[in-house]
Amino acid sequence: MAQRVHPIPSSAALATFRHLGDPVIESSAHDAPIAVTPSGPPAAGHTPPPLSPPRIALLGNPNTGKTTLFNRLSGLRHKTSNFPGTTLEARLGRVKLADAAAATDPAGPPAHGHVADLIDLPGIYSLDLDQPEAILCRDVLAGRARVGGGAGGGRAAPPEAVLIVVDATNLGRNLVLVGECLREGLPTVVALNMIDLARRARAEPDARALAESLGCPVVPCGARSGEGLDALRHALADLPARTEPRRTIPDLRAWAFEAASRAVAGRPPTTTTAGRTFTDRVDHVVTHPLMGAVVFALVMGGLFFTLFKLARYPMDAIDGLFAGNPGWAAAWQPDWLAHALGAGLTGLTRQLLPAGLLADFVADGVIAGVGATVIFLPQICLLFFLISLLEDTGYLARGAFVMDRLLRPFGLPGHAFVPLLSSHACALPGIISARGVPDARERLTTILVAPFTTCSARIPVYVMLITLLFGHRPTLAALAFVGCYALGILAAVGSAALARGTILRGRSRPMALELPTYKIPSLRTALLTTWDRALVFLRSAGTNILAICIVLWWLGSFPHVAPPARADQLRADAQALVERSAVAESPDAVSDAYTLAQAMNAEADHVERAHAKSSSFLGMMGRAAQPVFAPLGYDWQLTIGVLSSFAAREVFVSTMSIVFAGEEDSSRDGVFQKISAATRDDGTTPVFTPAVCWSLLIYYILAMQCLPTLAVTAREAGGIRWALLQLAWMSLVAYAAAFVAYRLALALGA
Amino acid sequence: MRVPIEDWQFWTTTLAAILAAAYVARGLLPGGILGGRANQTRATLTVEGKKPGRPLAR
Repeated sequence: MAQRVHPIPSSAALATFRHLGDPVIESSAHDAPIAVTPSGPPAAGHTPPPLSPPRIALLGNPNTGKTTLFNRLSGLRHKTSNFPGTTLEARLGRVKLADAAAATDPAGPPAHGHVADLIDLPGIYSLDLDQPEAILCRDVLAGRARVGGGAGGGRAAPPEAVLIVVDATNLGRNLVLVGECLREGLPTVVALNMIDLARRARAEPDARALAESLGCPVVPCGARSGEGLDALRHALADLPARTEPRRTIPDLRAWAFEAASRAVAGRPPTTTTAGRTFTDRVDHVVTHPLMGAVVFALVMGGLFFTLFKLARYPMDAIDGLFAGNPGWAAAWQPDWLAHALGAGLTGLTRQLLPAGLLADFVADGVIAGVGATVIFLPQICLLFFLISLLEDTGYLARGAFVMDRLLRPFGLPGHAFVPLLSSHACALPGIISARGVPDARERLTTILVAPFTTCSARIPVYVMLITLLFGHRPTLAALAFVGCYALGILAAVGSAALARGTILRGRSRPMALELPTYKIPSLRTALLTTWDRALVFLRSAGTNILAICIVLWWLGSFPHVAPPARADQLRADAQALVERSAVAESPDAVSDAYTLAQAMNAEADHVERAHAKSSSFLGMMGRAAQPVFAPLGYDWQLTIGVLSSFAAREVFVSTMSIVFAGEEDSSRDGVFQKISAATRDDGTTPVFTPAVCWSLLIYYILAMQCLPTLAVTAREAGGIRWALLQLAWMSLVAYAAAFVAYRLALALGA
Repeated sequence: MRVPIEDWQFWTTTLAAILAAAYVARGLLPGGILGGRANQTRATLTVEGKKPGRPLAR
């Protein structure tokens, strides 16, 4: 049963309570009486209600459930996982304290004193470490930090108290941090989290004994199950006062293990419980040098197989929504819906808006542009859902451990595994999660090489080019797809080795990663993570990518030019054919003439559009930049595609579909057919020869082509120079490799 | 070669393109120009306006 435990405010214990962390406390706390008070009045010496809500810093070792508790108390839903170091920045949330409901007018805002601002901080093992997370925590506790935005409004002040979350199954190590806070004289409340796991392992600590040892309130709770949260709200409503730091605990580690021993006295030690034995047995396999690598390959293979197998169906559905119904969807839809969605949102827009520039703008600039990106939403959602489930089981930390052996020769630590894995969905979260890499040089290396891994935005380009290369040979197409991923990883680790041997030279820090206990993954956490990622992606598609598509549409639509002579000739011939057929007597001859005239008019439209595109501002830019890409085999049309996708590589496919397929095409097969049949200005040489396809494929595997990634690199690496270095290196590697691939393919007769 | 300046739809789409270009440029330019990203308030931790990164002065 959840309960709040703290020393009774007797004269001796009251002094203890006023001077938490003082030498007097520890020596007197052993004989202080204990009271269990689920909701008692504030004792003398407690902090009076301040003018603004009190601030409570949430501290604890990594992976003790701080963010889960933070989410539970504040009603927010920040990312949580069963992986150490998930929280990488401080966050603020307002917490309703125990008596808020009774004391507050429901119609009005909650009175100060009944709410508190909780600051969720990254997990740390000690305040004294020289790591970014520890520095953040020290700055928050010293009042030098400001949490911008949110409920706190960016106020910089020391927190009124500290709520330390400790893992009830691993008290000895967790109490070191508690001791440090007590030593600094910080008013401290201890949340004894994962009490349900400790109970199940028959190793539940005695909260009373622990409170007595520590001299501060100790609340057993389970952040996942919600157990003990009411008691915790009571404890936070009744905060102890701040004291002057006046003493140091001489041997913090010995003190912590002594306190832990007293709390679990008489109970079997956790290392011999059934749960630990099971964990040890599983770990023996999954962290084994050989078997661990096999398990890792199987898990990752299963993850990507599931990803590509399952994501195809919702992707088809989204494609149908924007571009037109796929056959399987039309089969079960009522006629009216199939008719309305027959040409997708693009066609619907053209039906609703009168023909003109505005209709073209909405249909081709906005809907088609965003649709070409949103189609990849299912893959991104599924990848993050699966990664979240893996994290929650506790396996991902083992995966990082296994990867440490493989990455270490390239100068990367096992910590880099999670950023590199995340980058396979999108480089942005991957680079941000590199904050979990403790060593500064290794962190910077991880940031610089993470964009080499194949992100979701590359997939449409791969699909297009591999389909053009191996359209009717699925086995070769699958191998080429795997090869794209492999080349990206090789480029990443190779570049890492080069960076670590030159500009980021330095000794590697040994990897120390706490392996969390295995848990059944939380579906709720996985779904919330997926939802958050989907929102981020949709926000990007609805802002940056939409803006780029609009600009591209405008540049590709103006200035207007007169139709070329060939288009005029085709239309005139078609008209003459129709007129001649009017005097024909055979109905079959009339029908044939009309069919042929239609085809000639369509060809005339195509020729006119191609001419207009070539003469547009975008076409001019493509022609101007074409000499740079000529050695790679690209003509001006492909150069437009490469330039337009500089900001976001997935734009390449939509640009190609606009340049080659024409606006009226809505089916994907039609687009592929027209792209594969596209010719250069001479009208006979194909644009997409096998050599050009290989060159483009290699280029897109290795090139940066992502503006948001550069911005995030500049922010995370601490300067734009790193982003420019990343851009220059990736562009150089991509250009050189594409050149070699093109020449090699030509030499082999491709 | 001409630009349809007599068509109000041209001006509407041009305005949208200018706004879109400004939005894209906003992410690239330093703070203060077009309200660049550096001026955005984010719910992240700063110390006197800068990211923490120095040892604690005790």
